[in-house]
Amino acid sequence: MQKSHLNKSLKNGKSQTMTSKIEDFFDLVPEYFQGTLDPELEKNFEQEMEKNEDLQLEVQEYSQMRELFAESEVEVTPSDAIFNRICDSIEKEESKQRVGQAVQQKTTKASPITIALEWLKESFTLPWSLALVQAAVIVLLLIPNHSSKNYSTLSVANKQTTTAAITSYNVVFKDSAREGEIRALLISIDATISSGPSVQGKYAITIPANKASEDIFEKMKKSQLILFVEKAY
Amino acid sequence: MNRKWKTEDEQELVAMIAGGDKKAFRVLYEQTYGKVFHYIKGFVRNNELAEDVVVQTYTIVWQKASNYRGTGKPTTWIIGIARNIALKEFRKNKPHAVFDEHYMSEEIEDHRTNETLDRKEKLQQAMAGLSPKHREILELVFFQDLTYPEVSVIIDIPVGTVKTRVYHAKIALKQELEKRKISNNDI
Repeated sequence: MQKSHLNKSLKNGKSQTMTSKIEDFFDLVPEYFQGTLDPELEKNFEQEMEKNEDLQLEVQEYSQMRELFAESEVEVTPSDAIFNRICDSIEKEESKQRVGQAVQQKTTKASPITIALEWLKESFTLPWSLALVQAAVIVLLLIPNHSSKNYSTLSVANKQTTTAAITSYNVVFKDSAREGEIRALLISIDATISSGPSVQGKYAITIPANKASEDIFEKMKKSQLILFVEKAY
Repeated sequence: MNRKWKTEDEQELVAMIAGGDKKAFRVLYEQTYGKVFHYIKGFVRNNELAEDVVVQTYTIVWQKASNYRGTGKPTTWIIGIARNIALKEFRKNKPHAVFDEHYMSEEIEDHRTNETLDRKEKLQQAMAGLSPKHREILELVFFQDLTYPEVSVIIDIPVGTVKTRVYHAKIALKQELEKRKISNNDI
């Protein structure tokens, strides 16, 4: 079918299917030359070509263009040098990928450990720091302060007295009595403070039995240093 | 015509390459090198850069062989890779230029007169005189033996545009050939 006839048939309102079919043949010229048309379509194509001069011209022109390009081609031989460069390039890229994977694995492996260490750090640092500070404060408070005034009593806690061989008295010294005066009095009557002072200020004194007498007791009662004295039982 | 056979042969090679077969890779390289290099030379100014693009192209072929879907010619797939790499190289030097209008090949610099050239050289000069767009489309259709849909995928233009561009490119080539006194009867 000539193209002019085709136009007439279009004007006469022939179906679009017919038109697109003919146009499709023109589009199939490359496939026809490449031999990739299925057998039935190839047969239809050749049938169309026999009756369609325009299609014949298209096919002829296509063939000539292919020949022209083939004629203009500069023969090139696959280069060994270029292939070696390609292999080197591939090796380089694969090496980069291996390094990348190794780094990634290392990072992945380290993560749980790193996370665990971070957790430990966070969970222990603050509370333990506070505990250490508190301990330090406690220790500091417990250390005795040597600059402060030492208080000691008149009682001789370490001295042991045999109960049977002594006579015990309960004594309360006057507030005005000085320590030196009290010691002098005790020495004069051969007395020893065995305990005290109690909350009430009472001392327990002992005199060896062979030295204790009513005179000693009267002496203590009359002393300006003693507020109160009685025999202890 | 053994295009179908050749396509299946190449597809099998790509499948072997995906499995790490270096021998198959060498075979594919030797089978496709000529067409790929010819296409790349249409883009870049010098042999050194063309070789760099070839090296990058086949490196990617090796790396991405497993991505090849098996539809269409492997050569078409390789040429698509080569085009993308050539585009990147082009944009390195001319980031604001339009690729289709401005890339140039070495042949353009051949200023010898018509009388001193043989037919082959006249043909090459005629093709070099075409715009990059026309030169590429004719290269892909008539030298690389690609169908219009295959060209459409590589250049990323509609099939209709491919056909239109081929039509205008043929006219332009005829004009270039006439200038160089290559007979119209040859076309």
